[in-house]
Amino acid sequence: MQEIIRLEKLTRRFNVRVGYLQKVRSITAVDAVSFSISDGETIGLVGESGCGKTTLGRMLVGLLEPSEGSFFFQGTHLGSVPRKERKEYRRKIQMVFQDPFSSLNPRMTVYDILSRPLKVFGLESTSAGKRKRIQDTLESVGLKPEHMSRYPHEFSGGQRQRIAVARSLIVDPEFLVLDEPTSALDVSVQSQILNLLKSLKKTEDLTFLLITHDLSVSRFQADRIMVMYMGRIVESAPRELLFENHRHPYTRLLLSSIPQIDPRKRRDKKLSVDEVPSLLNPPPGCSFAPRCPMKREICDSAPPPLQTVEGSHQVACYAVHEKEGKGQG
Amino acid sequence: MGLERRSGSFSVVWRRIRKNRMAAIGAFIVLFVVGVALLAPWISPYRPEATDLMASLEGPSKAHWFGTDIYGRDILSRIIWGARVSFSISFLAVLLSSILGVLLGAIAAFFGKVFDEIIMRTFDILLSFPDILLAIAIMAILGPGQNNLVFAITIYSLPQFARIARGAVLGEKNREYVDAARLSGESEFSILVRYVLPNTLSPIIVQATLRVAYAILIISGLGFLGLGIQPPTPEWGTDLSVARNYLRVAPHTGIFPGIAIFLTVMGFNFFGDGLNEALNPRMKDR
Amino acid sequence: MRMANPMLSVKDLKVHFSTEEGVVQALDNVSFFLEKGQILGIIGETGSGKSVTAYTINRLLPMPPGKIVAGEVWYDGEDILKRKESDLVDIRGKKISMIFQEPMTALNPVFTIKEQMTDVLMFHRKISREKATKKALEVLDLVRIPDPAMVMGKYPHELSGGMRQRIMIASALSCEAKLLIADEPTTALDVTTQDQILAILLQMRKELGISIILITHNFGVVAEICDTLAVMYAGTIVEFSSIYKVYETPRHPYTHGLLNAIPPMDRTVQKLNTIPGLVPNLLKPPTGCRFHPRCERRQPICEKQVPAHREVDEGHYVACHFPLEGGR
Repeated sequence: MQEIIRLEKLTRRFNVRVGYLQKVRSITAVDAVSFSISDGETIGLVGESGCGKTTLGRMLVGLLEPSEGSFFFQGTHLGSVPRKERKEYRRKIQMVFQDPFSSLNPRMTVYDILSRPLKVFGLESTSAGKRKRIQDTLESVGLKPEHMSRYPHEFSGGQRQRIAVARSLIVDPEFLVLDEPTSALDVSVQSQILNLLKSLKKTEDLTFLLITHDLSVSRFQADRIMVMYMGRIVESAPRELLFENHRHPYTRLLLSSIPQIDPRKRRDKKLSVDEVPSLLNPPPGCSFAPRCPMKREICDSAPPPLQTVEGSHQVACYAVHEKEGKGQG
Repeated sequence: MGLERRSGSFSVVWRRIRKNRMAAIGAFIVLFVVGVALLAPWISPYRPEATDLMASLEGPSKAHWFGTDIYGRDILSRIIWGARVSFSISFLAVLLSSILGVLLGAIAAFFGKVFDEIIMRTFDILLSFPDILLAIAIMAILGPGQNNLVFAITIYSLPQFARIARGAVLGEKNREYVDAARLSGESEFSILVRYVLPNTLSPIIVQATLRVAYAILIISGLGFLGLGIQPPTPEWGTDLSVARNYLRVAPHTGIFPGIAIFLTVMGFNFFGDGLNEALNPRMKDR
Repeated sequence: MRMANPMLSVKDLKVHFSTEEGVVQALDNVSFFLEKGQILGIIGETGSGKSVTAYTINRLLPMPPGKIVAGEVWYDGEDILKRKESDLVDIRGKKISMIFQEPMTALNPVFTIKEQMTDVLMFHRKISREKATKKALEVLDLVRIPDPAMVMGKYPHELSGGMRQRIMIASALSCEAKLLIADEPTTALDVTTQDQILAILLQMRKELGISIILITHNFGVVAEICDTLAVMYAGTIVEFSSIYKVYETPRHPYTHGLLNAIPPMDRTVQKLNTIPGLVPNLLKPPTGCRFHPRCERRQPICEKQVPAHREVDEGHYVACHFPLEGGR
């Protein structure tokens, strides 16, 4: 399969002010992340808050500049493209945001919201052409032409999210980053939107990066899942493999913490006090080491590299690699 | 949960104003006074500069509802035309200062850093002077007259508009729709003007309303001090100043301009406060 | 078949809200009960009325614009809805305590933890600062906070979300209320932290014998720790039973639809089931059964008559004219 996206050691740091004296410190939100996405894939990027997944997504769509590293789209290194020429790439990479209540301009009608991108990217020169395109796009997300003249506040959360999806699709992109697209929605609406996204991906021939903290959403949408923790990818595997045979201790912790909806499958809970280390003071080696049941000495030395365990299953864990090395699967 | 009506839409805002008694009174006064100013050429019984020395300092009568001043000029006509003068100056000044002030404040907030520092520190300097002193100083340097008045009022009004716009833009600029606009290919300036500014209108409209009231007060004040509008142009403050000399024998010459100033300023203030409440309703206390 | 004297009994609660645009019929036909030492889950989507229900029970609902039109809430031998405003200090905090979704806004950012916890204790229990401090330390220990003495000296912003929620729980329990209402206590937390907080709640029930009402929109959360479950839709309770019965044999079409719409964790599916339509506007709720516009099984009577709560199975109550047979 053709590779459409490639990240090489993509890094992003932020300066934050801490303490009473407002000293400036640097945190590394995304730490030398490398992976590639094939044309037509859906990658699920999962992790809890602060893991860097949103920052990564924003770098891919151009809302943030990387501090270090490179990002290749269809073979072109986007960092080296001069600002003026980036517009066309902008068009091909779009994003759907999390909050349907603030991602739409309250003062613009649906028509305005959808026609601006057409105007700015120079698509559809005639007004009739624009109108038709907007109508078609609205239809494809399950809305009606009469919705064009309304304002966002007249719609429910699910409908607003549909408008947001329409906005990202109307410019005919190739790659879509979805940042928690259903986290702010009720369950019954979430399922409608997830179904919609899945069918649109097929009909519009898209590639998705789905950022979410909800693994069940990932299971429904993604072909391959990457688990992020404190700025690094700790495990990357095809979907079924991740759920049936995950290896990284953080992945295990994550999966075991997710509440089961079948009350008969309740698990006994441990009364642990588990504090996530702050990005201001990251552990010197593996960032999960302080909480890890499988920790050994080497884990404090340097962050473990992401290495292949088998096929396309990669894990960043010394303990796992040790087992592999000793021939224990 | 259902769908909410847009809190800024006209019908909703109008309904809230009607319910709030003070605001309704203010709205009525504003409409009345502005109406008078607009219709001055048709409703004024006399020409405001028309003197009639035989009828000097006459009290209210059928011929002159508000009486006459020392030169025999009809006070009612002078009040009516005075409204026109006050409004033309204050509206123009507020229009200019709001456009310029909002633009500068918005740029300061949106583009930040250097722009923010330069623009806001300049305005801080302006703000360190009391408005009326600044106005007096400018009028003293430039001399009296309508255009200079507009200039003076515009200058001292700029910082407030800039501040309010800056605050409102700061609140909006990190919203997701701004990011979405970037992905739609919009330029930064286009985002500021097309997307962000329309969402900051409420506090600016309120400020503009209150500023008109204040401007009228300043115009009257400067007129009273002899630095603003010069006679024989009818203006409430100037007329009040002249009336000072005759208060004992003909108090009506001062009462009517005084009431005009008082009523107008109060009306605009009530309306501005009401507008503020209507645009940003707060939950009633327990 | 219910026990003769449940600890909390809510009967036919009906609450309206006056807003600018009219009267919102926030709650109607809300009935459920809670036994001593039980954990009741109230699950519902946005606008279902679950928070309104909680705030009505502990009388925190502002009374205008809210109005209790009908109903009773029996707790500790009395209908607390009949109590006057001035008489409610006893209930709030002392008999019924509450924890909220956002620990940052419930804790005052300008006071230390020690100050906040001892203030509450001194107010309700009328004890000295020293005694209150001692009690606060005890209760922080109960929720397994490491080094409580150090934590007491800190300000809320110096602590993590999970820690703050533990402190809220500790504070809520410090006055020894027998009923704890938890309004979306883990919604703002990460899944690993959420797991720990749920463990704490279970432990508190075990060690202190308190009863808990847990309000959430997350079915997994109720499945993990609740004994009974009340399902709310558009301001009404549509189903109420033990959590096992609701999960294994949902009888209300909404419950069934909701359970089926959750993306499964244990297997991969190609398409998700959905509930067509939208949640209704409670300014003008649908007549009769509030779910009927979206229900596949609706019949003419569903539009005309509000379905009463019927016991379709032992301890299993459903408000539906044509409940499902059972099984999924």
